[in-house]
Amino acid sequence: MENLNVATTQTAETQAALTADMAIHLLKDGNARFVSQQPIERDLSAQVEQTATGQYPFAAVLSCIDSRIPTEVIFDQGIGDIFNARIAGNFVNEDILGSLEFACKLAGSKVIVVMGHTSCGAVKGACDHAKLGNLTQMLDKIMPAVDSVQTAEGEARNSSNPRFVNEVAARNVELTIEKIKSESPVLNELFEAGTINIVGAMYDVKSGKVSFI
Amino acid sequence: MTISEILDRLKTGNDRFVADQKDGKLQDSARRTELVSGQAPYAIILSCADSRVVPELAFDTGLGEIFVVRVAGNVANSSSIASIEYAVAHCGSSVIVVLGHQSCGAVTAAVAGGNNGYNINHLLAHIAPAIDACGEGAAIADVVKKNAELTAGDLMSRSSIISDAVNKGSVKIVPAYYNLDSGKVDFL
Ligand SMILES: [Zn+2]
Ligand SMILES: [Zn+2]
Repeated sequence: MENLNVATTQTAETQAALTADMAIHLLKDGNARFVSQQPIERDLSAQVEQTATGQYPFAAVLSCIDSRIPTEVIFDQGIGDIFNARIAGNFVNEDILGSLEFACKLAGSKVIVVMGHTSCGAVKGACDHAKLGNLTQMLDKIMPAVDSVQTAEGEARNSSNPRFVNEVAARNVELTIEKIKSESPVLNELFEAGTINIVGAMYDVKSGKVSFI
Repeated sequence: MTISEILDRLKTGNDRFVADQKDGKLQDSARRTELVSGQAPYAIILSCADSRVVPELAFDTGLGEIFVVRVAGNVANSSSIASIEYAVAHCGSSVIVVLGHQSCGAVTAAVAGGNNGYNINHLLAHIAPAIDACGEGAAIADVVKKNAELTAGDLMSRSSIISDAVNKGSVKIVPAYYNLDSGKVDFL
C-alpha cells in the first residue's frame, strides 16, 4: 500500500492491480490530506494529456450537487481517478444506475461510494415535504429515508432539527445502496462476484471529513 | 456577479487550468467554516460522469462556487432538471453550463446502438435526438455538441422555473464542449 504513488495517473495496468479495498484506502488517504490541508502536488496538464485517449478510474462516487463538496477536491484526486455521478440528494434513477454501470462494467471502477452529507438542502426539502416544480418528484425519492428515521416524542421531524436531517441523509445512503443492488442486475452481479464493492459514506461540511459507514 | 462576469470567471479559471496555473483558492478549513450555514454558488454545471471531466478542476473553482450535476452523457432527466431548479430557485445561481466533452463514451455508445441492458439503454435514449439531428455518419464531436445544445433546450422546455428565469434575463444557459486532449472548454 505504501508504495502506491497516488499522484500517478491511472492506467489500465494500475487500475487492474487495485482491489476494492485498496480503492477505498486511496479515498481515505486522500480525504485525510484534504482535511489536513496537505494536498499532493499534481501536474494536471500532464494528467490531461495522459488520459486523453482513455479513462481508468479506480472509484465511482455518487454524491450530491452541493457546491461545498467537489468530489476530487475533498478526496484529493486528479484527472481520471473518479467516475462521478451527482444529483441533489444522491439517490438513484435509471440514468444514474446506467452511469454507475458504465463506471464499473465498462470503465473498470473497483468501488462505488454513495456519499451523503450533513446539512443537505435536498434532504431538508424532503424533511419539510417541500413542493415545487420537478423538485416534488425528486424529493419523493428521499421520502422512504425520511419515513424510516425515528424521533423521540416531541422531537421535530423537519429541517429545524439537524440531528433528524443528518440521520435521514445517512439512512438515504443505506437505502440507495440497497436500491443499486436491487435495481441493477449488472452491478449486483459485480458486487456478488467480489469484483466491486459498494459502500456508503457521509461528508461533514464543517470538518471536511468523510466517514465511511 | 453579473452573468457576463460569471462567464468571465469560468473562462479565466479554465485558462489557468489549461496553463497548469490553478490558484487552488477557497479549499481550506476557513472556507468550509464560511459555508457551514449555507451556499450561494454562482453557476451550475451539468456535465458527464467521465472521470476526466472534472468541472471544479477544469474551471479552477473552490468550495461553494459551483453546483455540479453529473450523469453520463450530461443528459436532462426529471431529476437532473429538478437539481438545477433547486439551484436556480433556492440558491440564486445564474449561469447554467451544459458541458459535453470530446470522445464521450456515452455518446459513442448511443451512436453504436445495440442492447446495453435496461439502465444504460434508458440513459442512452436521451441522446437519440442529437444523433437523429446530426444524421447518419456524423462525427462524435458533432453529436456531443448537438446533445449539449438540445439538452440546454430541454431545460427550457421541461422546466417553467428555469425558462421563466431565462426569459426574465436572470439566468443564462450556455452549451459548452470540453477538449479531453487540452483541457480547454469551448463555449458554443
Ligand atoms: Zn446535498
Ligand atoms: Zn462522457
